Amino acid sequence: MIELQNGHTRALDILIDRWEMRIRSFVYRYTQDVSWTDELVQETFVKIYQNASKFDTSRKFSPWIFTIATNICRNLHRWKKRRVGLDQSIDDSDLPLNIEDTSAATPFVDAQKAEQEQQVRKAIMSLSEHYQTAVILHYYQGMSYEDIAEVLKCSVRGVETRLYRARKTLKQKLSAIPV
Amino acid sequence: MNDKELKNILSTWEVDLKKDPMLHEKVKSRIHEQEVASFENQLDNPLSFGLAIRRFLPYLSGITALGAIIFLFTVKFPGKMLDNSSMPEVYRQIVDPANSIKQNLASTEGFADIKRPIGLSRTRFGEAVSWLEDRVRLTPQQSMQFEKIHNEYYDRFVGLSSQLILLENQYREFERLRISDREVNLLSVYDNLQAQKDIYQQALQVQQLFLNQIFQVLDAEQEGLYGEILSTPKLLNPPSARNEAGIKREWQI
Repeated sequence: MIELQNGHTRALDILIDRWEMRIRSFVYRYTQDVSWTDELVQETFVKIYQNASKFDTSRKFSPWIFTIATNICRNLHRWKKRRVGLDQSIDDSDLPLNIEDTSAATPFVDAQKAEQEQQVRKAIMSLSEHYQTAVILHYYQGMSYEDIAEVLKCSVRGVETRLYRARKTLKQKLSAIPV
Repeated sequence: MNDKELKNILSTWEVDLKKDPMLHEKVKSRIHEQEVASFENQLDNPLSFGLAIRRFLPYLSGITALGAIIFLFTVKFPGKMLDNSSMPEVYRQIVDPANSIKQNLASTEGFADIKRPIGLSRTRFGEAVSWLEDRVRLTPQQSMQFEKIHNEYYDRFVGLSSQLILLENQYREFERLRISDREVNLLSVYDNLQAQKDIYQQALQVQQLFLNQIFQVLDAEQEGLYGEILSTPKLLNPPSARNEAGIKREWQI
């Protein structure tokens, strides 16, 4: 990051190599929209480049990069809501199926897995934006409460509360899935 | 269900995303586009123009300053207020890959590589589509369908443009080698030209499918407006691929 602040564009290449997949999976899980993922991943790295000088190098990098990605995803979410009334238009058919089939057991197991995955996605999508972000950052990006607090601009206690409530809702919604 | 069980269930949502091998290029190209756009915006912004004039005012003679002010109020400001002409251009760059690349070729000097058009960014395209919806006076219902069709075709159009740019730049590399008397694999040149021809053809087909769908959404009056704004007949007459006879003569194929 210091290299990037000093104007070495090679540093941007290194940054992209290191962070692309984490950002890509975060953006995809947040938007659940493959067609927008590429666009938002690119925009995240553009913003990183443009705001490199604002990054405090004494702080951790991951909360900063995820703050940028979160803001970009949030803007899209709000824009979509304004444009097409997203809340009304999302139904099962809008949620993409597996991007690529990774399992191979049997058709029955595949179908069961796909069904379960669909339920998980729908449950996460149904959470309000703040809960959804906290869940994705914690469960899928493995971030600590402190780092999530920095991304969400709230206290650690606030993150705990959000995750507690999100868990409660998710448990209710996913109770039909056999453990 | 306890927390551990919830965690296990959540972990069943796996995503198998692929790295984008062109991401570095795309990001750099967008950075460049935004820098250019921001520079152009500063030049186009009447306020910043005003600020610039005010900053330089002490150094200008009275007459020059007066001339500049007259220019701003007679040409620049009304032009800014009335003119939104870049929007159709941005829109055309997407939905008309063949003509857009052709224009790009015309504006690039010599055999330098051609650049990805600015309008290819989804954000700018979204702005152009919204602008068009207003101009064509679509109902909310029509707007939804209009946007849906554009979203469905966006990736295909951008894909075609990118392929055309890639092939054109490959071709230009051949030209540079030829001019510098270095060895060129003529079979590769032939393959390149053939691929370009196929993609131009493909672009035309995709464009026709796209326009058919768009026209199904619009009523007769809106169709007229759409055609008027975008010179639609031009869209239906793509540029011919390279003049093959000329190419063969030039390359002695």
